[in-house]
Amino acid sequence: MALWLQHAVVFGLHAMVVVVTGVLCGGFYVQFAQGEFPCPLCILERMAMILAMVGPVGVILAGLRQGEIEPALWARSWGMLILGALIGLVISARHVLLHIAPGDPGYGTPLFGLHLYTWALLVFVTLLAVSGVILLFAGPGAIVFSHRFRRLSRAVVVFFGIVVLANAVAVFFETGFSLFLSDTPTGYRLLE
Amino acid sequence: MIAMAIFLLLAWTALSQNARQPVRSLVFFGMSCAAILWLFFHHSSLHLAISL
Repeated sequence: MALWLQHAVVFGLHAMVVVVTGVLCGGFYVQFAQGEFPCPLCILERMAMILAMVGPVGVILAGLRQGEIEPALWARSWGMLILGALIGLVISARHVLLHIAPGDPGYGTPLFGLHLYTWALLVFVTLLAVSGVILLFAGPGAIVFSHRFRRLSRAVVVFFGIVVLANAVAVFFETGFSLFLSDTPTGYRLLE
Repeated sequence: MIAMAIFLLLAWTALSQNARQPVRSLVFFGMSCAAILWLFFHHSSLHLAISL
C-alpha cells in the first residue's frame, strides 16, 4: 500500500472511531435532552458499537506504542470490527422488525425521519462496507503510523474512553443493581 | 449494570491485549461477543414469550 494511502487509511480509522463515538453521543442527546429512556435493545446496540470499535481503538493504541501496525494485528482488528458490526446488525435488524408493522409508531422520537435503531442499522451496514473496502487494499507489509497522528490518536482514544464510561454510568442509573432492564423502561431505577 | 460491567471488562481486556497477546485478546473478544449475544437472546425470548 502506498505511503499516502496508508496515512489516509489511518486518518480514516480515527475518523471512523470519532463518528461512531459521536453516534453514541447522539444517543445521549436523545436520552437526556429529550428525556427518553433507552430500551434493552437500544443499550445492546450501543454495546455492539463499542464492541465494533475494540479492534480499531486497539490499532490506534498499538500505533501510538510501536509507530507501525503489523499486518496480522491490522487484519485481526478489522475482523473484530466485522464481527462486532455483524452482531449489531442482527440486533438492530430485530429492533427494526419489531416495529415494522403498519401503524406501529416505533420506539422513541425519530431523528431526521428515522428512529435511532434504524440509524444504528445503517451505521453497522456502513461499518461492514468500510471494512470490506479497507481489506481490499491490505498488503503484506506493516502499516506506517505517522508521528503526526499522535495528538489526534490520544484525543480520539480519550474521547472514546469517556463516552464508554459515560454509557456505563447511564446504564447503571437506568438498571440499578438488577441484572436486566425492563422492556419499556420509564425511569432510572437507581433513583427510585 | 452487572452485565454491562462484565462486558466492558471483557472488551477492555481484549483491546489491551490485542497487540501483545493475540490469542488471549481473541478469547476475551469472543467472550464479549458471547455476553452481548446472551443478553440479546434473553431479551428476544422475553419478547417471544409475550407475543405468544
